[in-house]
Amino acid sequence: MLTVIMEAARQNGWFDTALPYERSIYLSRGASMWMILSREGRPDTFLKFSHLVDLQPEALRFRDAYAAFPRHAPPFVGHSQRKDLSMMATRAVDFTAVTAATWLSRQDSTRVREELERFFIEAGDSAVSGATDKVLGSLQELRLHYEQHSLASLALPALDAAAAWLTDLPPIAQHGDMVMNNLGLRADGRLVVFDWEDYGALWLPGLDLFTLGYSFDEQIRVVMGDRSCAWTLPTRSMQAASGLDPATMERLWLVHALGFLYLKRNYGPDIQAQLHRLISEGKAQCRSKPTHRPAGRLGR
Amino acid sequence: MSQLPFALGEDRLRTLYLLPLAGNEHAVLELRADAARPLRWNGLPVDSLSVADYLAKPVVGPCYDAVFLVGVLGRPTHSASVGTAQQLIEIASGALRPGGMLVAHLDHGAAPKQIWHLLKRDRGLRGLHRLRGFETAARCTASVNASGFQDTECYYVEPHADDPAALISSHPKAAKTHFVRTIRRNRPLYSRSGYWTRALCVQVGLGGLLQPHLFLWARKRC
Repeated sequence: MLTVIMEAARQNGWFDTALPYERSIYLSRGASMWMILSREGRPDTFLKFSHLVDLQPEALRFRDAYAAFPRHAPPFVGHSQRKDLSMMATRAVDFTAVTAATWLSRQDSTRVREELERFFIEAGDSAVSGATDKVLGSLQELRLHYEQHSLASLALPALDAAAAWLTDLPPIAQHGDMVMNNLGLRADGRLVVFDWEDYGALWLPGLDLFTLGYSFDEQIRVVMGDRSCAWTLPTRSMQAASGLDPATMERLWLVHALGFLYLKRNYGPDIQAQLHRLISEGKAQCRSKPTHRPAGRLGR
Repeated sequence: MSQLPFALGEDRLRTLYLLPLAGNEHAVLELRADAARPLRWNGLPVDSLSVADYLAKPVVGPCYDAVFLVGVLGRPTHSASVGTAQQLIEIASGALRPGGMLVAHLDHGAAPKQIWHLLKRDRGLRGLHRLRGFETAARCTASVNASGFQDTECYYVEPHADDPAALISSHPKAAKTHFVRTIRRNRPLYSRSGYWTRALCVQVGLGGLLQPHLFLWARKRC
Protein backbone atom coordinates (compact mmCIF):
# COMPACT_ATOMS: atom_id res chain seq x y z
CA MET A 1 0.00 0.00 0.00
CA LEU A 2 1.42 3.32 -1.09
CA THR A 3 4.02 0.99 -2.55
CA VAL A 4 5.04 3.40 -5.28
CA ILE A 5 5.71 6.14 -2.78
CA MET A 6 7.70 3.97 -0.40
CA GLU A 7 9.68 2.47 -3.26
CA ALA A 8 10.51 5.93 -4.56
CA ALA A 9 11.65 6.97 -1.09
CA ARG A 10 13.90 3.94 -0.95
CA GLN A 11 15.36 4.45 -4.41
CA ASN A 12 16.04 8.11 -3.71
CA GLY A 13 17.99 7.12 -0.63
CA TRP A 14 15.58 8.99 1.61
CA PHE A 15 14.39 6.09 3.75
CA ASP A 16 15.43 2.46 4.02
CA THR A 17 12.17 0.50 3.83
CA ALA A 18 14.00 -2.80 4.38
CA LEU A 19 14.19 -2.08 8.10
CA PRO A 20 11.05 -2.19 10.29
CA TYR A 21 9.22 1.10 10.46
CA GLU A 22 5.89 2.62 11.36
CA ARG A 23 3.97 5.39 9.64
CA SER A 24 1.05 7.70 10.09
CA ILE A 25 -0.69 9.27 7.12
CA TYR A 26 -2.07 12.77 7.14
CA LEU A 27 -5.00 13.50 4.87
CA SER A 28 -5.75 17.07 3.91
CA ARG A 29 -8.52 18.70 1.98
CA GLY A 30 -5.84 20.14 -0.27
CA ALA A 31 -4.03 18.49 -3.10
CA SER A 32 -1.20 16.90 -1.16
CA MET A 33 -0.84 14.51 1.75
CA TRP A 34 2.04 13.43 3.90
CA MET A 35 3.44 10.74 6.13
CA ILE A 36 5.59 10.59 9.20
CA LEU A 37 7.87 7.57 9.09
CA SER A 38 9.35 6.39 12.35
CA ARG A 39 11.43 3.59 13.75
CA GLU A 40 10.38 2.21 17.12
CA GLY A 41 8.41 5.38 17.69
CA ARG A 42 11.27 7.76 16.93
CA PRO A 43 10.30 10.07 14.04
CA ASP A 44 12.68 9.75 11.13
CA THR A 45 11.32 11.17 7.89
CA PHE A 46 8.56 13.53 6.81
CA LEU A 47 7.33 12.62 3.34
CA LYS A 48 4.90 14.81 1.40
CA PHE A 49 3.31 13.56 -1.82
CA SER A 50 0.76 14.57 -4.39
CA HIS A 51 -0.67 13.20 -7.61
CA LEU A 52 -2.29 16.55 -8.43
CA VAL A 53 0.31 19.26 -7.94
CA ASP A 54 4.03 19.67 -8.47
CA LEU A 55 5.72 19.94 -5.07
CA GLN A 56 9.02 21.20 -6.44
CA PRO A 57 8.36 24.89 -5.70
CA GLU A 58 7.49 24.01 -2.13
CA ALA A 59 10.49 21.69 -1.87
CA LEU A 60 12.77 24.52 -2.97
CA ARG A 61 11.32 26.72 -0.22
CA PHE A 62 12.06 24.03 2.35
CA ARG A 63 15.56 23.70 0.96
CA ASP A 64 16.17 27.44 1.11
CA ALA A 65 14.73 27.63 4.60
CA TYR A 66 17.12 24.96 5.84
CA ALA A 67 20.02 26.74 4.20
CA ALA A 68 19.05 30.01 5.91
CA PHE A 69 18.06 28.48 9.27
CA PRO A 70 20.02 25.24 9.80
CA ARG A 71 19.48 25.49 13.54
CA HIS A 72 15.69 25.86 13.38
CA ALA A 73 14.41 24.25 10.17
CA PRO A 74 14.07 20.48 9.69
CA PRO A 75 16.86 19.16 7.47
CA PHE A 76 15.80 19.09 3.84
CA VAL A 77 16.28 15.73 2.15
CA GLY A 78 15.06 16.05 -1.43
CA HIS A 79 12.40 16.21 -4.11
CA SER A 80 11.48 13.84 -6.90
CA GLN A 81 8.93 13.54 -9.68
CA ARG A 82 7.81 10.22 -11.14
CA LYS A 83 5.10 10.47 -13.79
CA ASP A 84 2.27 12.22 -11.94
CA LEU A 85 3.64 11.58 -8.44
CA SER A 86 5.50 14.50 -6.89
CA MET A 87 7.26 13.94 -3.56
CA MET A 88 9.48 15.78 -1.17
CA ALA A 89 11.13 14.78 2.09
CA THR A 90 12.69 16.30 5.17
CA ARG A 91 13.99 14.69 8.30
CA ALA A 92 11.35 14.47 11.00
CA VAL A 93 12.38 16.08 14.25
CA ASP A 94 11.46 14.75 17.67
CA PHE A 95 10.12 17.62 19.72
CA THR A 96 7.87 18.84 22.49
CA ALA A 97 5.10 21.10 21.31
CA VAL A 98 5.20 24.73 22.42
CA THR A 99 1.82 25.17 24.06
CA ALA A 100 0.17 27.42 26.59
CA ALA A 101 1.66 25.19 29.32
CA THR A 102 5.15 26.07 28.09
CA TRP A 103 4.63 29.66 29.15
CA LEU A 104 3.80 28.64 32.70
CA SER A 105 7.31 27.33 33.19
CA ARG A 106 9.91 30.03 33.65
CA GLN A 107 12.66 27.74 32.36
CA ASP A 108 10.77 26.64 29.25
CA SER A 109 9.40 30.07 28.45
CA THR A 110 12.85 31.63 28.80
CA ARG A 111 14.33 29.00 26.53
CA VAL A 112 11.67 29.52 23.87
CA ARG A 113 12.03 33.28 24.03
CA GLU A 114 15.81 33.09 23.70
CA GLU A 115 15.55 30.71 20.79
CA LEU A 116 12.99 32.94 19.08
CA GLU A 117 15.28 35.92 19.51
CA ARG A 118 18.09 33.91 17.99
CA PHE A 119 15.81 32.98 15.10
CA PHE A 120 14.95 36.59 14.33
CA ILE A 121 18.58 37.62 14.56
CA GLU A 122 19.40 34.96 11.98
CA ALA A 123 16.48 36.17 9.89
CA GLY A 124 17.76 39.73 10.12
CA ASP A 125 21.21 38.57 9.06
CA SER A 126 19.65 36.96 6.01
CA ALA A 127 18.24 40.28 4.77
CA VAL A 128 18.94 40.61 1.09
CA SER A 129 20.22 44.06 0.32
CA GLY A 130 18.75 45.55 -2.78
CA ALA A 131 15.77 43.20 -2.76
CA THR A 132 13.25 46.04 -2.60
CA ASP A 133 11.62 44.64 -5.73
CA LYS A 134 10.58 41.62 -3.67
CA VAL A 135 8.90 43.85 -1.11
CA LEU A 136 7.11 45.84 -3.78
CA GLY A 137 6.21 42.63 -5.57
CA SER A 138 4.60 41.30 -2.41
CA LEU A 139 2.57 44.47 -1.98
CA GLN A 140 1.47 44.31 -5.59
CA GLU A 141 0.46 40.69 -5.18
CA LEU A 142 -1.66 41.62 -2.18
CA ARG A 143 -3.17 44.55 -4.02
CA LEU A 144 -4.25 42.35 -6.89
CA HIS A 145 -5.78 39.87 -4.47
CA TYR A 146 -7.77 42.47 -2.53
CA GLU A 147 -8.99 44.51 -5.50
CA GLN A 148 -12.18 42.46 -5.76
CA HIS A 149 -12.29 41.48 -2.12
CA SER A 150 -14.88 42.52 0.42
CA LEU A 151 -12.06 44.21 2.36
CA ALA A 152 -10.96 46.28 -0.65
CA SER A 153 -12.00 49.62 0.83
CA LEU A 154 -9.83 48.89 3.87
CA ALA A 155 -7.00 47.03 2.20
CA LEU A 156 -6.10 49.05 -0.89
CA PRO A 157 -5.42 52.37 0.87
CA ALA A 158 -3.30 50.60 3.49
CA LEU A 159 -1.26 48.75 0.88
CA ASP A 160 -0.76 51.84 -1.24
CA ALA A 161 0.37 53.85 1.78
CA ALA A 162 2.82 51.13 2.83
CA ALA A 163 4.37 51.01 -0.64
CA ALA A 164 5.68 54.52 -0.11
CA TRP A 165 7.98 53.61 2.77
CA LEU A 166 8.08 49.85 3.32
CA THR A 167 11.13 49.49 1.09
CA ASP A 168 13.10 51.54 3.62
CA LEU A 169 13.04 48.53 5.96
CA PRO A 170 15.39 45.52 5.63
CA PRO A 171 13.94 43.07 3.09
CA ILE A 172 13.74 39.68 4.81
CA ALA A 173 12.09 36.54 3.47
CA GLN A 174 9.28 35.67 5.86
CA HIS A 175 8.34 32.21 7.10
CA GLY A 176 4.71 33.15 6.44
CA ASP A 177 3.11 30.99 9.13
CA MET A 178 5.13 31.75 12.22
CA VAL A 179 2.57 30.63 14.79
CA MET A 180 2.79 28.73 18.06
CA ASN A 181 1.45 25.58 16.45
CA ASN A 182 4.50 25.47 14.18
CA LEU A 183 7.03 25.64 16.98
CA GLY A 184 8.61 22.82 18.95
CA LEU A 185 11.39 22.33 21.45
CA ARG A 186 13.97 19.66 20.87
CA ALA A 187 15.49 17.69 23.72
CA ASP A 188 18.69 19.74 23.41
CA GLY A 189 16.74 22.95 23.93
CA ARG A 190 16.82 24.14 20.32
CA LEU A 191 13.68 25.53 18.81
CA VAL A 192 12.41 23.82 15.68
CA VAL A 193 10.11 25.66 13.27
CA PHE A 194 7.84 23.67 10.97
CA ASP A 195 5.75 24.21 7.86
CA TRP A 196 7.98 26.29 5.63
CA GLU A 197 5.79 25.97 2.52
CA ASP A 198 5.12 29.72 2.48
CA TYR A 199 8.74 30.71 3.11
CA GLY A 200 9.60 33.68 0.92
CA ALA A 201 6.07 33.91 -0.46
CA LEU A 202 5.70 37.39 1.04
CA TRP A 203 8.52 39.80 1.81
CA LEU A 204 6.61 42.00 4.21
CA PRO A 205 8.99 43.21 6.93
CA GLY A 206 7.66 42.13 10.29
CA LEU A 207 5.06 39.66 9.05
CA ASP A 208 6.50 36.81 11.10
CA LEU A 209 6.61 39.05 14.15
CA PHE A 210 2.95 39.85 13.63
CA THR A 211 1.83 36.22 13.24
CA LEU A 212 3.91 35.21 16.23
CA GLY A 213 2.29 37.86 18.38
CA TYR A 214 -1.17 37.05 17.08
CA SER A 215 -0.92 33.32 17.79
CA PHE A 216 0.74 33.95 21.14
CA ASP A 217 -2.15 36.15 22.18
CA GLU A 218 -4.59 33.45 21.10
CA GLN A 219 -2.74 30.77 23.03
CA ILE A 220 -1.95 32.58 26.26
CA ARG A 221 -5.59 33.48 26.55
CA VAL A 222 -6.23 29.75 27.01
CA VAL A 223 -4.26 29.95 30.22
CA MET A 224 -5.08 33.42 31.46
CA GLY A 225 -8.54 34.02 30.12
CA ASP A 226 -9.31 37.46 28.80
CA ARG A 227 -6.96 39.25 31.12
CA SER A 228 -4.25 41.14 29.31
CA CYS A 229 -1.12 39.13 28.79
CA ALA A 230 1.90 39.69 30.96
CA TRP A 231 4.20 38.27 28.39
CA THR A 232 4.62 40.13 25.17
CA LEU A 233 5.67 38.53 21.96
CA PRO A 234 7.42 39.54 19.88
CA THR A 235 9.95 41.13 22.24
CA ARG A 236 11.65 44.39 21.35
CA SER A 237 14.90 42.61 20.67
CA MET A 238 13.13 40.45 18.06
CA GLN A 239 11.70 43.57 16.48
CA ALA A 240 15.07 45.33 16.54
CA ALA A 241 16.73 42.35 14.84
CA SER A 242 14.23 42.81 12.01
CA GLY A 243 14.95 46.55 11.82
CA LEU A 244 11.61 47.43 13.37
CA ASP A 245 10.34 49.17 16.45
CA PRO A 246 6.97 49.06 18.24
CA ALA A 247 5.70 52.17 16.48
CA THR A 248 6.46 50.72 13.06
CA MET A 249 4.83 47.42 14.02
CA GLU A 250 1.72 49.35 15.01
CA ARG A 251 1.80 51.20 11.73
CA LEU A 252 2.04 47.95 9.79
CA TRP A 253 -0.58 46.04 11.73
CA LEU A 254 -3.26 46.10 9.02
CA VAL A 255 -0.80 45.28 6.22
CA HIS A 256 0.45 42.33 8.24
CA ALA A 257 -3.07 41.11 8.94
CA LEU A 258 -3.94 41.38 5.24
CA GLY A 259 -0.80 39.46 4.34
CA PHE A 260 -1.59 36.69 6.80
CA LEU A 261 -5.19 36.42 5.57
CA TYR A 262 -3.87 36.19 2.00
CA LEU A 263 -1.50 33.34 2.88
CA LYS A 264 -4.37 31.49 4.56
CA ARG A 265 -6.65 31.82 1.53
CA ASN A 266 -6.43 28.08 0.77
CA TYR A 267 -7.16 27.02 4.32
CA GLY A 268 -10.52 26.15 5.81
CA PRO A 269 -13.21 28.75 6.42
CA ASP A 270 -12.70 28.96 10.18
CA ILE A 271 -9.28 30.62 10.15
CA GLN A 272 -10.33 32.87 7.29
CA ALA A 273 -13.41 34.01 9.19
CA GLN A 274 -11.33 34.59 12.31
CA LEU A 275 -8.82 36.78 10.50
CA HIS A 276 -11.52 38.54 8.53
CA ARG A 277 -13.26 39.44 11.75
CA LEU A 278 -9.99 40.56 13.28
CA ILE A 279 -9.34 42.95 10.40
CA SER A 280 -12.89 44.23 10.17
CA GLU A 281 -13.11 44.96 13.85
CA GLY A 282 -9.58 46.36 13.93
CA LYS A 283 -8.75 44.56 17.14
CA ALA A 284 -5.14 44.74 18.32
CA GLN A 285 -5.07 41.74 20.70
CA CYS A 286 -2.02 42.66 22.81
CA ARG A 287 0.19 44.34 20.25
CA SER A 288 3.50 45.85 21.00
CA LYS A 289 3.44 46.58 24.69
CA PRO A 290 1.87 44.99 27.73
CA THR A 291 -0.98 46.74 29.45
CA HIS A 292 -0.83 44.62 32.59
CA ARG A 293 1.98 42.83 34.29
CA PRO A 294 0.89 40.66 37.19
CA ALA A 295 3.49 39.52 39.69
CA GLY A 296 4.56 35.94 39.62
CA ARG A 297 5.77 33.36 37.19
CA LEU A 298 5.44 35.00 33.87
CA GLY A 299 8.55 37.19 34.03
CA ARG A 300 9.38 40.28 32.05
CA MET B 1 -5.37 23.52 -9.34
CA SER B 2 -8.49 22.95 -7.26
CA GLN B 3 -7.85 24.58 -3.92
CA LEU B 4 -9.73 22.07 -1.82
CA PRO B 5 -10.18 19.01 -4.01
CA PHE B 6 -10.85 16.63 -1.13
CA ALA B 7 -13.46 18.40 0.90
CA LEU B 8 -15.36 15.11 1.32
CA GLY B 9 -13.93 12.70 3.86
CA GLU B 10 -14.63 9.70 1.66
CA ASP B 11 -12.62 11.25 -1.16
CA ARG B 12 -9.62 11.70 1.10
CA LEU B 13 -9.62 8.01 1.91
CA ARG B 14 -10.21 7.02 -1.70
CA THR B 15 -7.25 9.00 -2.91
CA LEU B 16 -4.97 6.80 -0.86
CA TYR B 17 -5.95 3.56 -2.50
CA LEU B 18 -7.68 4.52 -5.76
CA LEU B 19 -5.41 7.15 -7.27
CA PRO B 20 -2.54 4.70 -7.75
CA LEU B 21 -4.99 2.44 -9.63
CA ALA B 22 -6.52 5.14 -11.82
CA GLY B 23 -5.50 5.15 -15.43
CA ASN B 24 -5.04 1.40 -15.50
CA GLU B 25 -7.39 -1.45 -16.21
CA HIS B 26 -8.30 -2.23 -12.63
CA ALA B 27 -11.56 -3.54 -11.23
CA VAL B 28 -12.68 -2.06 -7.93
CA LEU B 29 -15.59 -3.05 -5.72
CA GLU B 30 -16.96 -0.83 -2.99
CA LEU B 31 -19.41 -2.41 -0.55
CA ARG B 32 -21.47 0.00 1.48
CA ALA B 33 -24.19 -0.15 4.10
CA ASP B 34 -26.38 2.31 2.21
CA ALA B 35 -27.77 2.22 -1.30
CA ALA B 36 -25.49 1.84 -4.28
CA ARG B 37 -24.48 4.87 -6.32
CA PRO B 38 -22.64 5.06 -9.63
CA LEU B 39 -19.04 5.98 -9.09
CA ARG B 40 -16.24 6.91 -11.41
CA TRP B 41 -13.00 8.01 -9.81
CA ASN B 42 -10.50 9.78 -12.08
CA GLY B 43 -11.72 7.68 -14.96
CA LEU B 44 -11.65 4.48 -12.93
CA PRO B 45 -15.07 2.78 -12.77
CA VAL B 46 -15.97 1.54 -9.31
CA ASP B 47 -18.69 -1.03 -8.68
CA SER B 48 -20.41 0.54 -5.69
CA LEU B 49 -23.04 -1.72 -4.12
CA SER B 50 -24.81 -2.20 -0.84
CA VAL B 51 -23.83 -5.38 0.92
CA ALA B 52 -27.36 -6.75 0.57
CA ASP B 53 -27.40 -6.07 -3.18
CA TYR B 54 -24.00 -7.67 -3.64
CA LEU B 55 -24.95 -10.76 -1.67
CA ALA B 56 -28.13 -11.12 -3.74
CA LYS B 57 -25.94 -11.46 -6.83
CA PRO B 58 -22.32 -12.03 -5.81
CA VAL B 59 -19.52 -12.31 -8.34
CA VAL B 60 -18.27 -15.76 -9.20
CA GLY B 61 -14.59 -16.15 -8.51
CA PRO B 62 -11.93 -13.56 -7.74
CA CYS B 63 -12.22 -10.72 -10.23
CA TYR B 64 -11.47 -7.51 -8.37
CA ASP B 65 -8.14 -5.77 -7.81
CA ALA B 66 -9.42 -3.87 -4.80
CA VAL B 67 -12.38 -4.23 -2.44
CA PHE B 68 -13.34 -1.38 -0.16
CA LEU B 69 -15.66 -2.06 2.76
CA VAL B 70 -17.17 1.32 3.59
CA GLY B 71 -18.23 1.25 7.23
CA VAL B 72 -19.93 -2.14 6.97
CA LEU B 73 -17.77 -4.25 9.23
CA GLY B 74 -19.63 -4.85 12.46
CA ARG B 75 -22.84 -3.26 11.25
CA PRO B 76 -26.14 -4.84 10.23
CA THR B 77 -25.91 -6.10 6.65
CA HIS B 78 -29.62 -6.88 6.22
CA SER B 79 -28.61 -10.35 5.13
CA ALA B 80 -29.45 -13.61 6.82
CA SER B 81 -26.23 -15.23 5.69
CA VAL B 82 -23.74 -12.58 6.71
CA GLY B 83 -23.75 -11.18 10.22
CA THR B 84 -20.16 -10.74 11.34
CA ALA B 85 -17.12 -8.79 10.30
CA GLN B 86 -15.21 -12.03 9.75
CA GLN B 87 -17.81 -13.22 7.26
CA LEU B 88 -17.58 -9.98 5.31
CA ILE B 89 -13.80 -10.20 5.19
CA GLU B 90 -14.11 -13.71 3.78
CA ILE B 91 -16.56 -12.50 1.14
CA ALA B 92 -14.14 -9.73 0.18
CA SER B 93 -11.32 -12.24 0.01
CA GLY B 94 -13.38 -14.40 -2.33
CA ALA B 95 -13.90 -11.47 -4.67
CA LEU B 96 -10.27 -10.38 -4.70
CA ARG B 97 -7.62 -11.53 -7.13
CA PRO B 98 -4.38 -12.80 -5.57
CA GLY B 99 -2.35 -9.76 -4.61
CA GLY B 100 -5.50 -7.63 -4.58
CA MET B 101 -6.04 -4.99 -1.95
CA LEU B 102 -8.60 -5.03 0.84
CA VAL B 103 -9.43 -1.65 2.37
CA ALA B 104 -11.93 -1.02 5.13
CA HIS B 105 -12.89 1.34 7.86
CA LEU B 106 -14.86 0.12 10.82
CA ASP B 107 -16.00 1.01 14.29
CA HIS B 108 -13.29 0.76 16.92
CA GLY B 109 -14.84 -1.74 19.28
CA ALA B 110 -12.50 -0.93 22.17
CA ALA B 111 -13.27 2.78 22.27
CA PRO B 112 -15.62 3.53 25.20
CA LYS B 113 -17.57 6.00 23.08
CA GLN B 114 -18.05 3.38 20.38
CA ILE B 115 -19.03 0.64 22.83
CA TRP B 116 -21.76 2.91 24.17
CA HIS B 117 -22.89 3.74 20.66
CA LEU B 118 -22.99 0.10 19.63
CA LEU B 119 -25.00 -0.91 22.69
CA LYS B 120 -27.50 1.86 22.05
CA ARG B 121 -27.81 1.23 18.33
CA ASP B 122 -28.29 -2.49 18.58
CA ARG B 123 -30.07 -2.45 21.92
CA GLY B 124 -27.70 -4.88 23.52
CA LEU B 125 -24.65 -6.91 22.81
CA ARG B 126 -25.37 -7.88 19.21
CA GLY B 127 -23.36 -4.98 17.91
CA LEU B 128 -20.33 -6.14 19.81
CA HIS B 129 -20.88 -9.69 18.56
CA ARG B 130 -20.65 -8.52 14.96
CA LEU B 131 -17.27 -6.98 15.67
CA ARG B 132 -15.87 -9.97 17.52
CA GLY B 133 -12.24 -10.31 16.63
CA PHE B 134 -12.08 -6.75 15.29
CA GLU B 135 -12.56 -4.82 18.51
CA THR B 136 -9.00 -3.55 18.76
CA ALA B 137 -6.39 -2.66 16.19
CA ALA B 138 -4.28 -5.65 17.22
CA ARG B 139 -7.14 -8.15 16.99
CA CYS B 140 -8.29 -6.60 13.72
CA THR B 141 -4.83 -7.10 12.23
CA ALA B 142 -4.63 -10.66 13.49
CA SER B 143 -8.09 -11.53 12.16
CA VAL B 144 -7.34 -10.15 8.70
CA ASN B 145 -3.98 -11.95 8.55
CA ALA B 146 -5.68 -15.18 9.55
CA SER B 147 -8.11 -14.74 6.63
CA GLY B 148 -5.42 -15.07 3.99
CA PHE B 149 -4.05 -11.57 3.86
CA GLN B 150 -0.60 -10.11 4.38
CA ASP B 151 1.04 -6.69 4.85
CA THR B 152 -1.93 -5.77 7.02
CA GLU B 153 -1.83 -2.28 8.48
CA CYS B 154 -4.41 -1.00 10.91
CA TYR B 155 -4.67 2.68 11.82
CA TYR B 156 -6.68 4.78 14.20
CA VAL B 157 -8.75 7.32 12.27
CA GLU B 158 -8.48 10.84 13.65
CA PRO B 159 -10.96 12.34 14.35
CA HIS B 160 -13.44 9.97 12.65
CA ALA B 161 -14.07 8.20 9.34
CA ASP B 162 -16.66 10.68 8.07
CA ASP B 163 -14.09 13.50 8.12
CA PRO B 164 -10.66 11.91 8.47
CA ALA B 165 -7.66 14.14 9.02
CA ALA B 166 -5.10 11.48 9.83
CA LEU B 167 -4.53 7.75 10.02
CA ILE B 168 -2.44 7.13 13.12
CA SER B 169 -0.19 4.12 13.37
CA SER B 170 -1.52 1.55 15.82
CA HIS B 171 1.96 0.12 16.38
CA PRO B 172 2.39 0.17 20.16
CA LYS B 173 5.83 1.81 19.97
CA ALA B 174 4.74 4.52 17.58
CA ALA B 175 1.18 5.38 18.52
CA LYS B 176 1.94 7.82 21.34
CA THR B 177 4.52 9.83 19.40
CA HIS B 178 2.33 9.99 16.34
CA PHE B 179 -0.73 10.99 18.34
CA VAL B 180 1.14 13.87 19.94
CA ARG B 181 2.11 15.23 16.54
CA THR B 182 -1.40 14.74 15.21
CA ILE B 183 -3.34 16.49 17.92
CA ARG B 184 -0.86 19.35 17.77
CA ARG B 185 -1.43 19.73 14.07
CA ASN B 186 -5.19 19.28 14.26
CA ARG B 187 -5.68 21.59 17.18
CA PRO B 188 -8.13 23.90 15.34
CA LEU B 189 -10.46 20.89 14.99
CA TYR B 190 -10.98 20.57 18.73
CA SER B 191 -12.71 22.56 21.39
CA ARG B 192 -10.51 23.71 24.24
CA SER B 193 -11.67 20.89 26.53
CA GLY B 194 -11.47 18.38 23.68
CA TYR B 195 -7.86 19.30 22.98
CA TRP B 196 -6.73 19.02 26.59
CA THR B 197 -8.62 15.73 27.05
CA ARG B 198 -6.85 14.30 24.02
CA ALA B 199 -3.49 15.63 25.14
CA LEU B 200 -3.88 14.02 28.55
CA CYS B 201 -5.06 10.69 27.17
CA VAL B 202 -2.23 10.61 24.66
CA GLN B 203 0.38 11.32 27.32
CA VAL B 204 -0.74 8.31 29.36
CA GLY B 205 -0.82 6.10 26.26
CA LEU B 206 -4.59 5.97 25.84
CA GLY B 207 -4.85 8.01 22.66
CA GLY B 208 -6.18 5.06 20.69
CA LEU B 209 -9.20 4.64 22.96
CA LEU B 210 -10.47 8.06 21.90
CA GLN B 211 -10.67 7.10 18.27
CA PRO B 212 -14.10 5.82 17.20
CA HIS B 213 -12.91 4.23 13.95
CA LEU B 214 -10.18 2.04 12.58
CA PHE B 215 -8.85 1.96 9.04
CA LEU B 216 -7.16 -1.08 7.61
CA TRP B 217 -5.68 -2.29 4.39
CA ALA B 218 -4.07 -5.54 3.43
CA ARG B 219 -3.06 -7.56 0.45
CA LYS B 220 -4.48 -10.95 -0.43
CA ARG B 221 -1.78 -13.57 -0.41
CA CYS B 222 -0.76 -14.84 -3.82
